[in-house]
Amino acid sequence: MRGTAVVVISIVMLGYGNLMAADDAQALREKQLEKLGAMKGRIQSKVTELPKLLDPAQNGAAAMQAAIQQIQQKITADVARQAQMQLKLMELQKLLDPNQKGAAELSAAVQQLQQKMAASVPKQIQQEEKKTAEQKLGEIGQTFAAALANYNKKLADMQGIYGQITTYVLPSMPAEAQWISADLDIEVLISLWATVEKGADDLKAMNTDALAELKKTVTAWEPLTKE
Amino acid sequence: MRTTVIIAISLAVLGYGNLMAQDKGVESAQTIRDKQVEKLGATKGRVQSKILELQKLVEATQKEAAAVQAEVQRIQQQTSASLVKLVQEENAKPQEMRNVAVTENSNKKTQKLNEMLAEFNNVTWATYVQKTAQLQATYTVIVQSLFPALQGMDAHWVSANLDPEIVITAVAAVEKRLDGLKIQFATAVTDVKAALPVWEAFAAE
Repeated sequence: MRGTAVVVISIVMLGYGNLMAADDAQALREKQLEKLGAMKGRIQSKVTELPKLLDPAQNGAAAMQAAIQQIQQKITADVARQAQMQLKLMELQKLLDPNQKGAAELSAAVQQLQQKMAASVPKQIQQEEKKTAEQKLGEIGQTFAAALANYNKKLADMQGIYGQITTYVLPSMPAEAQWISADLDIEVLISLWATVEKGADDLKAMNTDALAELKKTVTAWEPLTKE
Repeated sequence: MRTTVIIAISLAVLGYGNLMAQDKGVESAQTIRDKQVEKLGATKGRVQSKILELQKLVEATQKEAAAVQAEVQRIQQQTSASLVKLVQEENAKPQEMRNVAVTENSNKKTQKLNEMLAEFNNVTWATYVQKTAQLQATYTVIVQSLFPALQGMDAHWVSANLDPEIVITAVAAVEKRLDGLKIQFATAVTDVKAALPVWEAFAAE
């Protein structure tokens, strides 16, 4: 009788243990599916957000390009003004005759004009006195062109990666239902999706860095427009 | 002059060192990629081979199970016929010569035979059919959908700047599942085969 009772209790315990284990497995599965669902949602949102971030009209790159053009125009105008003033100065120096009456006034006028002209020359141009303003302008133009080319290359790379993710990677991701029905490890599927999410995040970070680099170039030359 | 030569040599050494480091850096990234491609290729190859192997195993186990089923039916029919014949022979005897025990024993055996057949059909064979149908469905999903999806994935992943290592892990998970399927198919047919000795023993009684 006691033996039977022990056997019955053991069977009940075993059954309860199995039930508990099944419950645990079910709870784990539910958590994994929840995690996967949340991740897919985030990826969807990131994939929707990325085109805006990679669009120069929306991410500020076009505005920076416009700022670059503005700076270049300003510098070109400054250089032209400087050349004009130099011409005027030369004309004044030709007119200047130390023996004539009023020469002192004229000399003062020339000095004043020289000071004004020096103040109007952009600082970056002043720093390298040996170079002509035109040369410096050419260098600035090259710097901007390089910065823009660099950004455009990065943008093309990023758009290529985005295209790969949306055109090939996402559509070929294993279907969740099939993965589960084949009794494959869900953690592996979660890792696959996590890698895609990381890819989207990396793309976003690459875009931020590329824009920051472009911004740095603009910021370095921006004061010229305010002088 | 000497100073210039020293500077020139130093610059040359420095430049060479940089070049070497650069080569090493590029080489190591390339080596990692090569290793990943090699590893993925090997895993895919094993999966491909296991798929074919499993297909053969499935066909072989189906034949084995069908053979067991046919043998059970043959034993059942033969034993049943023998029992019917035994009863008929007994009934053909004059009343006073009939052995009631023979008829009763034959009836009991016929009843036992029917119970065994019901158990074989409704439990053993039904379980086998259900299990193998599930396994077959899993096999089909892996072979027709999941593995083909994973097979072309790595090239797109590399172009999309994504780490292909996880694709290797996914293919390895499929390989592991195929190993599991092989064991499950073998176990399912073993359960059916285990019924045969019982039938053979009954027939020999």
